[in-house]
Parts: sequence; C-alpha cells; structure tokens
Amino acid sequence: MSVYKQIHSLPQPTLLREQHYQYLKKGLRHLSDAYECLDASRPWLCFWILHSLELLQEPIPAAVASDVCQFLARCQSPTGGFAGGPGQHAHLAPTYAAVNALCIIGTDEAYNVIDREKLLDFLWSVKQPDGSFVMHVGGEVDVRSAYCAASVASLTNILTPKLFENTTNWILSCQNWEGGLSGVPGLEAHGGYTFCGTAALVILGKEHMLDLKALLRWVVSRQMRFEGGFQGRCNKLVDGCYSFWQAGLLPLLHRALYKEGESELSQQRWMFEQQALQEYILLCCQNPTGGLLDKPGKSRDFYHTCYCLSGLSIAQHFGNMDNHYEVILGKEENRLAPTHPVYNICPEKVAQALQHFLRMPVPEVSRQPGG
Amino acid sequence: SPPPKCQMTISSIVMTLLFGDRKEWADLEPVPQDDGPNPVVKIAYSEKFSDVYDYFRALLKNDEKTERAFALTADAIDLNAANYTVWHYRRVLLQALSKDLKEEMKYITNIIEEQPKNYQVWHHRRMVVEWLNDPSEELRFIADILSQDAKNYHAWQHRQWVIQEYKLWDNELEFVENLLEEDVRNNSAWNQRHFVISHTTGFSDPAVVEREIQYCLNQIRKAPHNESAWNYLKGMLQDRGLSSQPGLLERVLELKETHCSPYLLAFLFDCYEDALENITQKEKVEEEEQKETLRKALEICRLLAQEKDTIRKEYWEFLGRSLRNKYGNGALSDEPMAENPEPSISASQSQEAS
Repeated sequence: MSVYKQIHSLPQPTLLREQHYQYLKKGLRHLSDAYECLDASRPWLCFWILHSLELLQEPIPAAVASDVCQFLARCQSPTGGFAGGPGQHAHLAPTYAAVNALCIIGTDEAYNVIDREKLLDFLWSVKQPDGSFVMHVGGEVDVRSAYCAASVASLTNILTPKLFENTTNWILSCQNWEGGLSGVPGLEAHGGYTFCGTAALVILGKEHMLDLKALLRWVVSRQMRFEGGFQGRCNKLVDGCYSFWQAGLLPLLHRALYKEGESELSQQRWMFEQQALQEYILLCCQNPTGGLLDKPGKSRDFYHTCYCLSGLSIAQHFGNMDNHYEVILGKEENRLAPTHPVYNICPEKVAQALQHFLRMPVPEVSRQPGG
Repeated sequence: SPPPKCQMTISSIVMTLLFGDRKEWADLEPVPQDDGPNPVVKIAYSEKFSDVYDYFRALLKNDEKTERAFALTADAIDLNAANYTVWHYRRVLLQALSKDLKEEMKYITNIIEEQPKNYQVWHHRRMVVEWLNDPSEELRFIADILSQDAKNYHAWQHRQWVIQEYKLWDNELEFVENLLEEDVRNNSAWNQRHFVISHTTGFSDPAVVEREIQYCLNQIRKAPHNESAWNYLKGMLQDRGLSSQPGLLERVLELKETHCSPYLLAFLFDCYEDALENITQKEKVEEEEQKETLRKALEICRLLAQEKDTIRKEYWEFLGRSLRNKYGNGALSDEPMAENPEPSISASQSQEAS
C-alpha cells in the first residue's frame, strides 16, 4: 500500500474533520424522515453523535448539552430505564445509550437525570432466572442485554452481585467452538455479540473464565488481510463498524491476559494490524460530505460514524498501566481522543461518572425479579 | 368544511385517509409527541407518520383494547417495524381480543419476508408459535428466508429455537449438508452442523469424529482457502486435544504440499502446541522430540508472521514468544534467535505516563 502511495504520490490519508463535524452538529438537532426507522432509538442517536463529537474533540455547547439532558429525561420511563423515545416503553439498548450520552455530557444536570432507584427496578424487571436479561419486558434475550445492564449498573453504582447471579455462566455459555461468542448459546460467533459478552464479563470481573486463547485466535482472524478492516463473522464481508466491535476486543484481551500473568505481551501494540485498520477507515469509510460508513458504496449514517471513529481511536492509541503509545496514520490532525474499550466513552468521562455515583449508596430493591 | 386530506403513497395506488380525518376516530384526541421545547435528534416525520403515532399514543394513554386499536398497530408497524412498544401492544390486543392466531401467522410471515433483519418481527413470530404451540410451518418458512440470505442471523436463531423447543432434529443435518453443497463457505451452516451434532450424537463417538474429519478434509480439498472448514476441524477436536487424533497430523502434512493455506499452517501450529502440552518427560528421546516440535512450531509462527499471514504479525509473534517462554530453555540458547523483538519505535509515536 505504501509503495503504491510512493509511486503515485498520493497525499496522506486525511480525516475529514470539518465535514464530519458539520454532519454531526446538524444531526444532533435535525434528522430527515429517512430516520423514521430509528424513531424507537433516539437515545442511540444522541450517543452516536455525542461520542463522535467527543472523539473529534469538538466541544458540546452548554445549551445543547442541557437540551440533550432534558430530552433524555423525557425518554426515561416512569417505571425506570430509558425508552427509544418519549412515551415508549423502557428497553436496555436505549438505556445503555442514554446513560452513556449523559456521562459524556458529564454535568450534574446530566447525572441528575438518572433515577437510580427506578433504574435498578427496571434491571430487576428484565432479569431472568437463568442469568440472562430480556431487552425489554416481553422482549427477546441475547447477550447484548447483559452488556447494557452491566454497563449502566456499574457506571451509576447500582450493581450488586445478586443482580448478576448466573449471568457470568450464561455469558460463558455463549462462547462457541469458533472461540468467539454468539448472541445466544448455539449460534455463530459474531463480533457485536462477542464484544458485548466480553465487555460484560470484564465489568463483572470474570473475563478470565473465558477461553481467552481461543477468543484471541478468533478475533485476530477477523481482520481482513486485503481490506485491513474487520469482518463480523468468518467468511463474511468487511464492515467499518467492526473496527470497534472487533478491534475493541484486543485492548480487553490484552488486559485480561496481563492479569492472568502473561509475560510476552507487547508493550507498544495491540495484537492487530493498527495501521491497516486506520487505512481502511480513512481511505474506504469516509463520505466526502461528512459521516462514515460500512464500506465504499454504502450510505453514511450516525451508527457507522460513531463506530468507525471509535475503531480509529482504538487503532491509534495503545495504553496499559505504565505507558501510552500512539500510532497515527497520516497527519497529526487525524488524531482522535482515546476511548475506553469497555464503555466506549472517553476514559475521563468514565472516571468522572464513577467518582460521582460512588459517593451515593446503592439503592434498596423495591421490586421482584421478572421472568 | 375543507375536504379531508388524502395520502397517496408512491409504492401503492391505495389512497388512505389520515386517522385524523376518519369519522370512526373522531372521539379520540390524538396525543402529539412530547419532545420538549428544545428538541434534539428531532426527526422530520411525514404527515402520515405523525398522524398514525399521535393516535397510537392516544390509544396507549387510554389503554384502549379494541378492533380499531389492533388495526392501527399494523399501520404503526408498517411505518416503523422496530417500534417494540407497538409490537408489545399488538400482542396485548391479540390476547385481549382473542384474535385468530393463524391469521397472525400469515401477517407476520409477510412482514418478515419484507424486513427479515429486524429483531421485533422474529420475536413476535416466536410468541405466536408458542401461543399456538404449532411449529409445523417453521422449518419451511425459515428455509425460504435463508434461500434469500443464507446467513441471516435472526433466521438461524429462530431455527435453533424451533428445533430445540420442539425436538425437530431429524432432518437438520441433511438440511445443513445441502446448504454446504450450495456454498461450502457458509459459516452459519458450519455452525449449524456443529449445533446438530453436539445435540444429537455428540462428538465423543469416535465413528462420528472420523466421519466429520473425513467430511472436513474433503471440503478442504475442494476449497483449500475456506477458513470455516479448518475452524470446524479444530473446534471439533480442541477439547480432546488435536494430538489425540492419531494420523491426523500426517494427513494434514500431506495436504500441505498441494492444498496449503495460512489456515493449514495455523492448524499445524496448533497440533504442535498441543503435542508440547501433552508431552511426558519420561525418556531422553522425548526431550529431543520436544525440541524438534518446538522448533517446528516456532518456524510456522515465523513463516506466518513474516510471509503467509502478515496481517496477523503481532499475534503470531506473540504466540512465538509465549511458546518459547513456556517450552524453551537454556539449552536452546545457541539456536538462531527468531526475529521476534519488540517492533522498533516509529517516529509518529509519543509516550506519556497514564
């Protein structure tokens, strides 16, 4: 690839910061009717856009931040948790997105939106006896729900061992013969579900119970040798969003292996080809008018904008206890802020939220588990 | 009074009245969405969308359980099939109004055919099948969806649920084999193969294992660069240990000459690593053998990292260092040191204490 550039004198790949910023700034306020299909995912739109802006290190004006807080407050269900829009039922996915968005904003107004007692009631209402969680009352089970529940419970300090009783074993039963994790036990290993299951176990402190070597082999094998990006499943096509779901597993596994006493880990690189992933994102996943996408020929959207940028950040930043190495393809201006590989918001925002909520007592349970 | 407004959709020639102009709905006050005074992520809903959902919110608010409410849920779903609140409400109405669930099966069949990658539609189908306790249409229906997209994750999930819940294992291995005939690279089909066998005969029976090894090697001969087949071979054997299967290493070494691939080499590495794990320190000859096995394993790591699978260089170099650390010893220090030092620091990198 670099020889081609030398020969053809191509400019260095450039992150189209200004174009992405305008696309995001507009979307945070107004979306066309093409977004009717996401009318039950509006907290997601808040998270995807706010996280993209924080990665680009673009400040969120205080008035906008306050408006987001008030909107998400309207998405909060009277029985706890957050819904896809005002007046809808609570669901773990928009709950995850809303809590993350509020933590990105990180003001007291944002933190105060969350009704912690009711949130805990909601989590109990979707908990199943086998350790899994349904995504919403009367809804489906898959490993995303465990991640959403663990993420919001840990950030807001409402997590108790009882809430996640049996959850570890249920998640472990999702690791299959391929080494990755499936959505429910028995299915094919898949990047999105593997990320959710692994990150949930990291939050619960149980990631060492996975077959880490098999998982590592599976995820590194998902990087495409020609495209440089990642596929979601074996023998499927590359997609920019897996830049986060798949590549984001390498920091998690690095730390897990380190904790297990692995002595031969690199001190400078994640175990994937960081430069190749950056090349794929910058050369193949940018819309020239702003926004990022799956692969050339596909349309831009805020989901791909968020996860392509998140993956680019992972590929740029290596960090462990002692050091922080950067690998920036192209100009220094391509550099994004680092992102936390468990929560996918910036590490400072994670620390700040934890600090805020750890001062509060864990709420008493007022409802019984569902199922 | 002004004439009622009509909506003509581009995709159909049916003209429909807005709910706001229908006499049968005149008693109900629509409820506009409460986005607040300074909305964010505000969607520019079409007039039709706002109309339907304003009335949906009204029904929800009144907890209305009528035929007209049921009819409206279909419109709401048509506008946004991902609205799980509407689906939940439709299920409440199906039960409250004792609706014909066989008709509902027809409805959900059509919706899934139109939107097969949506979570809610498949969950709804599962609920109806459970209520009817009738899986008789499922395998054929799912096969039809898979004929359009052989890797649809929701379809496979529903299929596994039906098979397990209603014990419909009998013809599934045949179904899988047909799919693999069509596309030997269909990883979903390989997964289903593993699913069926592990829940029926299991992988403990040596006859089954030998049959599966044979099957894999045949598929590999036909398509050597098919990662799925290699992953299945390893996945099936890894619990027992790759070196537990006599003659397998030799068969793979044979294939190396004519059907080599990065996957074959990785499989060899795994065989050598497994052998090292299981070596007993009984005789002196074992120690030489161990050194030779280690040497072969490290050579494969080097080959993969530097030539055959360079995208995974960091990984193969890590494995090489790990293996050397675990099984190498002082006696090996006069061997040429494999080139797995830390990558040199690049100009663009900075360092800050975290």
